[in-house]
Amino acid sequence: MTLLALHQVELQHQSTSLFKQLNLQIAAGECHCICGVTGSGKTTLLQLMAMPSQFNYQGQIYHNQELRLGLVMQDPNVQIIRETIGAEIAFGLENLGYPAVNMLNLVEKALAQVGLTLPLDTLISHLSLGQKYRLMVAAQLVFEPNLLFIDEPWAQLDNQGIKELLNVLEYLLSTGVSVVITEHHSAAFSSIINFHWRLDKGAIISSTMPTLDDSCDLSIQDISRQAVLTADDRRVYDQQKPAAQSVVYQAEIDKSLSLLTLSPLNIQFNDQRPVLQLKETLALMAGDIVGLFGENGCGKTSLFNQIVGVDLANQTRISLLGKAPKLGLYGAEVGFLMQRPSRQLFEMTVRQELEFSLKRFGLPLSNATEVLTQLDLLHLASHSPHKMSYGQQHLIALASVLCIKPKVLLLDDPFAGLDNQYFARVIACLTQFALAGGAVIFSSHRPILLDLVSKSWLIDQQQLTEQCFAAKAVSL
Amino acid sequence: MKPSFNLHHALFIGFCATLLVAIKSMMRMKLGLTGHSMFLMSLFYLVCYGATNKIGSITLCGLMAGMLAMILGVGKGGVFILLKFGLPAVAMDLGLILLANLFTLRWRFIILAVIGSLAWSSKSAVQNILIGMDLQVALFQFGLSCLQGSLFAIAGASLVPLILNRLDAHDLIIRNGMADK
Amino acid sequence: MSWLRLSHSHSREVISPAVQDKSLSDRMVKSKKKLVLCALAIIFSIVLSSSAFLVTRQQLGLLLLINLVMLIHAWFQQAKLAPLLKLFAIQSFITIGLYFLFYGSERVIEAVFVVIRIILVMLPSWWLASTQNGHQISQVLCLLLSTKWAFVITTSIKILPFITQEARDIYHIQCLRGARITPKALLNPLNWYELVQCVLFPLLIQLLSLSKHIARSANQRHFGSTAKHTHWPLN
Repeated sequence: MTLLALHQVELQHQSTSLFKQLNLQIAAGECHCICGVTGSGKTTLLQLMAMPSQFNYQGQIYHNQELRLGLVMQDPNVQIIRETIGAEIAFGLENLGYPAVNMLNLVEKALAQVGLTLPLDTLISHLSLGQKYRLMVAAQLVFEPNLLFIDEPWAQLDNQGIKELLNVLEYLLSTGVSVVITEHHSAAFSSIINFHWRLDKGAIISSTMPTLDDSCDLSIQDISRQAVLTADDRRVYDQQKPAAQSVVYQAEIDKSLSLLTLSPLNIQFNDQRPVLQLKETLALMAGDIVGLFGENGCGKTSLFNQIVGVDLANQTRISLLGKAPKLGLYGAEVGFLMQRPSRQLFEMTVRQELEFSLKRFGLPLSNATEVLTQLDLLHLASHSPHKMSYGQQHLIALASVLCIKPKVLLLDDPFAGLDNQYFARVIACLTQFALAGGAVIFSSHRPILLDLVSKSWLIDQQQLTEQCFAAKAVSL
Repeated sequence: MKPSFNLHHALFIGFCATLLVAIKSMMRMKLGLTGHSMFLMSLFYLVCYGATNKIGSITLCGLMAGMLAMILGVGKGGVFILLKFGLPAVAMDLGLILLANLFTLRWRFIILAVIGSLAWSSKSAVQNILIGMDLQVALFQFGLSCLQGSLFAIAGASLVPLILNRLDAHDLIIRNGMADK
Repeated sequence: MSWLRLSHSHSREVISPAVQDKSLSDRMVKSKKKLVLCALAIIFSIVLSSSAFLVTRQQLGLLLLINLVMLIHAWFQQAKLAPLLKLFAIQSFITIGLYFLFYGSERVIEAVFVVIRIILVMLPSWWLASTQNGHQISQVLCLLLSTKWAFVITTSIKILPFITQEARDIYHIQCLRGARITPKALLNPLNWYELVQCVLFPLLIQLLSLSKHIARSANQRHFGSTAKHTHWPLN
């Protein structure tokens, strides 16, 4: 039975064609995966299929009379409406006028289906991101859908969260529910996918066997290999780089100099619950690229906040550029990219966004052109940053941090939601930055780019330790 | 123009009201200046109008702000805080109806801000007269709060066109390809 | 028949269906009682505040007594007296000061009575805010609103921590980018516009974006699709 079909669907977006003559059919019990680069329209496609009446489209969208749709969007935090898990799931039932006494059974059933066996008045704020994601799935399952849309779960979830979600999806597929996933990294879900599609230049193309050439499915190791310079390349780079083309520092940096020292410390929540503990001394040297890895909620962001002086706990145990951390103390010597960096964008053009920091720190405005060229964004310099894709906004925020030429670069989850083309540009940029004497710490909720990093700081079971991984990377 | 607010606009009005109440609560502790609340009210009320382009949005924002202030216990709480936020808002919406498309947007905002400030000052003046305050003293206080309130309100109103430009640049006000539901 | 799980002091307890129904209806009755008491408190505070305008000078004494009882009640409920005292001090200074300026010492007593009336207008509101739970006030107010606006109010309260955190994050990001918005820099009024530009602008953008996402999520879960709207019993 065909549950949903698209026939010659077209959609305009900002006077360009987002979708051109899309055709797709989804039958009962099938799992479809739709890949596509950032900005290709994957999220819009899901929303169009789920709520066609909210779009001005051409063509036909067929919904079977028995179709019951569920839609789980990317970020659970912007979909949560209530404070407790029971109330959140019951929200939909309230809207449909279900009697209160009937709600309890339905809510319990939905929670059981996703394996969230928690009291109904558990506060959602106490859940991990993976649990929140499953809660969102349960909030859809309470309607007993036979078709479930899921938007880019991989970027949001750590490996544990992905495993939990896979279990849920396998169970749903076994009961005859169809699933459509949009994803950059479809390999994580390969065990359940029946049909693999690619959204490219407004068209859906069948792609049953992802290859290394497929831009959707390059593994992260392959990207890092392509982008990272080899040892030979580094020697040649050092000998041949013309000063005008490189990121030049005013002073030579001694690569044995420690730029950041973390002495043994504890990080706690406000209510004194422990988050993470460091028992040894860690140092960040010039030229280092350090990966800070740990599951969602393990304290990576808290650690960054303490290093830059946003949070003054452990101030005496951290030494950044020879000083105890304090907000605004380091000026242009420290660059910090927080999570969801696009929220810092407020200027009218990309160039103005970069020049904002340059003017405040009294640095040459030509740095903006230099960094935009490096990131291949120069053609966007006079465009509004707000009308760009997620990946482009991400790069612009990174550019605004790079253009001040800091000595230390701290990047909190910089690769979240980036597809391969932007991934490669960021890696190339960071590599050049480190080669020129800067030091980088980037965080991620899964160990990535192990070919690139000089050392890894791993948070596991609330303990932060320095680790060296084997050459074969752990991707999932 | 559709007669009622869609959920997106309604939520934005509510969130603006929340931010207004939250900032007012913080500024009250730091500034202690009479009239500073008119800066925030004119700013957020006019942003709501600019983002939704509907008459009534200002009144709704004011009433939402009053209710939220009551619920969150901001200021002295109670039901009269509804008047404090609501009266300037209603006055500004009435002013909108009267002004229609007269003047440029910037001047319209400034005039509306002054109208709101007058209504805000009047509330205290009427209250003072009703409790038996001497007319001369009440009028003096009215004049002073009018002046201070208007200055702050105009400052807030002059920022609104800049804010609306940014929201427009972010494609959050004009939606392409979506039916206006 | 499914089993209801309720949390008690962070531990899980499994309860039989018969006990479940009784427990649920007990909670609902208790909740309704609290709601009615809150509504009565709101009406009481309005009546009392309005009385401050209407009563004669002779009846002021009685009103003062009632307000004194409310003050003591609120004080026992751990209410903070500081806002009330601050109001009294400011109003006394301004009102008595102005009377003194215009009329000398002749009408100072009249000024004192005016100040007392001002306090009697505000005190019931302060008592309401101090003794009633914000959640219950919101539930009472939501009874007066349509489903849509009641949803807006409850969602707005819910996202307040998010708004505060976003404002803090954006402020920190912009400080690190060199924006002149550190507490020291803000002593210069010329930098106030920078605060508006690089914190308020992006914050409003985030709010508008968030309202779009939540509206979409709510609409997708059938919000507003039927006129009849029920309520989760464990609210």
